[in-house]
Amino acid sequence: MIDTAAILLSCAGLVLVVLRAVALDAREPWFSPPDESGRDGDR
Amino acid sequence: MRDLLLLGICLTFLAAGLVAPFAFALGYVWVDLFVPQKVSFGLLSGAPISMAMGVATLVAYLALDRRSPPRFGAGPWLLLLWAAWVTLTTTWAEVPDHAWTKWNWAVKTICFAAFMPYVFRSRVQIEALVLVMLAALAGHLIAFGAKTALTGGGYGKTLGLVTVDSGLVGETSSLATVATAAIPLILFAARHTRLLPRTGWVAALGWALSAAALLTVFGTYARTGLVALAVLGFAWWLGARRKAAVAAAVLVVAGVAWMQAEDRWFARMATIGTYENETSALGRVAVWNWTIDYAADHPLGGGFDSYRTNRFSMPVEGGAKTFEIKGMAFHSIYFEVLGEHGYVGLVLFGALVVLAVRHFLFVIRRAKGDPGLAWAGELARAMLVSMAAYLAGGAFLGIAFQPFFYFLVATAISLQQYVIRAQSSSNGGRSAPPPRREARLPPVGLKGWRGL
Repeated sequence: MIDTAAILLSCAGLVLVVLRAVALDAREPWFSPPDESGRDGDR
Repeated sequence: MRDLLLLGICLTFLAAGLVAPFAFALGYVWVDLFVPQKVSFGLLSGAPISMAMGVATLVAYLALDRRSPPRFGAGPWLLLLWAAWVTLTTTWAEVPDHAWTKWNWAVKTICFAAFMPYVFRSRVQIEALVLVMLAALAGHLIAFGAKTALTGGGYGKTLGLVTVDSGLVGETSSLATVATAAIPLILFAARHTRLLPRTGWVAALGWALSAAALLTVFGTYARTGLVALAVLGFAWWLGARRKAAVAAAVLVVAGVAWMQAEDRWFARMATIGTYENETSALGRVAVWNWTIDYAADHPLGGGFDSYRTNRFSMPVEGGAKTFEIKGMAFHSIYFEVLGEHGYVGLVLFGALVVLAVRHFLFVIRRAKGDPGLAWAGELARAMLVSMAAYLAGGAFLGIAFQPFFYFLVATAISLQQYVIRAQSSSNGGRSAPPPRREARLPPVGLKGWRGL
């Protein structure tokens, strides 16, 4: 019972974190378009 | 049910990785720390999940995600050199079968750590790495902590999710050490991360998880845990601006623990000072002495698990009895590295520690006065304290190749590269400016470990 609750809690937090991170990573791209020299820059 | 849930988590990582390749690497980190193969009742036991996540990370990076890689600096070089050296020592290992078995998982951890800075480059990615490490450990800490609260714990009792007495989260002393090392990261995450809402609930969860970690440390009855906690408290106090407040917090925690602890806990801890009367501690000291002699004869090391060759006896209880030692483990990170990989290995391992510490200090220094980098400075502080606790506990445990340490080293490299990139951008470098959204954030509320 305790084990199951612990696994559920940690997995719920994990899924929340992963999905939020993926969403933020997509929404706030940290790479700018290549500059005139063709280099990527990170924002 | 449990197996299906864990399988679902693995599939979530794989699905998320198709959208954002760094999620594959998050999956690898989770598998290495949570060890679903050992938590599962059978469906995932023995499944090569870690390898699947590792291969997926590599393929996805090469195919989709090679943007703005970090400089191939001293960190990755040192990790690869370390991987090469442990491979070389395995070729002359004294117990080849055992050595290659340990090499198999150890070298993967080291190589993956060298690769991690290429995957975790932005604030979101680095924070996700820290939170996934914590979520992986949380399952073990909540289970062990809750059972300790109900039963009082006990020496040698495996109350966690892994009931096999081995590995970082199965062996109780190792679990106590990593639980201690997790506390500063939990407190960082509860106050700084952008990945979780900044609400009272999240803060409360952070404190609850910290309490579970403390209960785990006490519930294991591991003397190692007490040593790691003492170092954690000292390192925290050392870097604190408000030293009196930190000292008061440490004293309150120690006082509560003192009042709640049972006599058998005090009896166990008392053996720290009387190790010569206690065979477990006495055996460790004997093996350490043996390792020093062994390294004198084998300066290049005897390969992984070379401790299995130790066989000797020693008089105890004033010579009334003889204590036989046969294949007793090193019980120390430093003697493990010395006995297995010789003086070269010890230097390389020490260099890894120095490199990580230098990177953390670099980030702390550069983050001063830069609101956009405040989170990085606080994370570096938390990681520094975490590493100090891990290395202190590790002085009595053979955990030199456990992934937690290498994930700390990899995060140090990622953070250092992030700060260099962000500041060179704002200083008119070739890169674009650092994230404006981050720069607009108010100075992050917590003063990190300094403010507690």
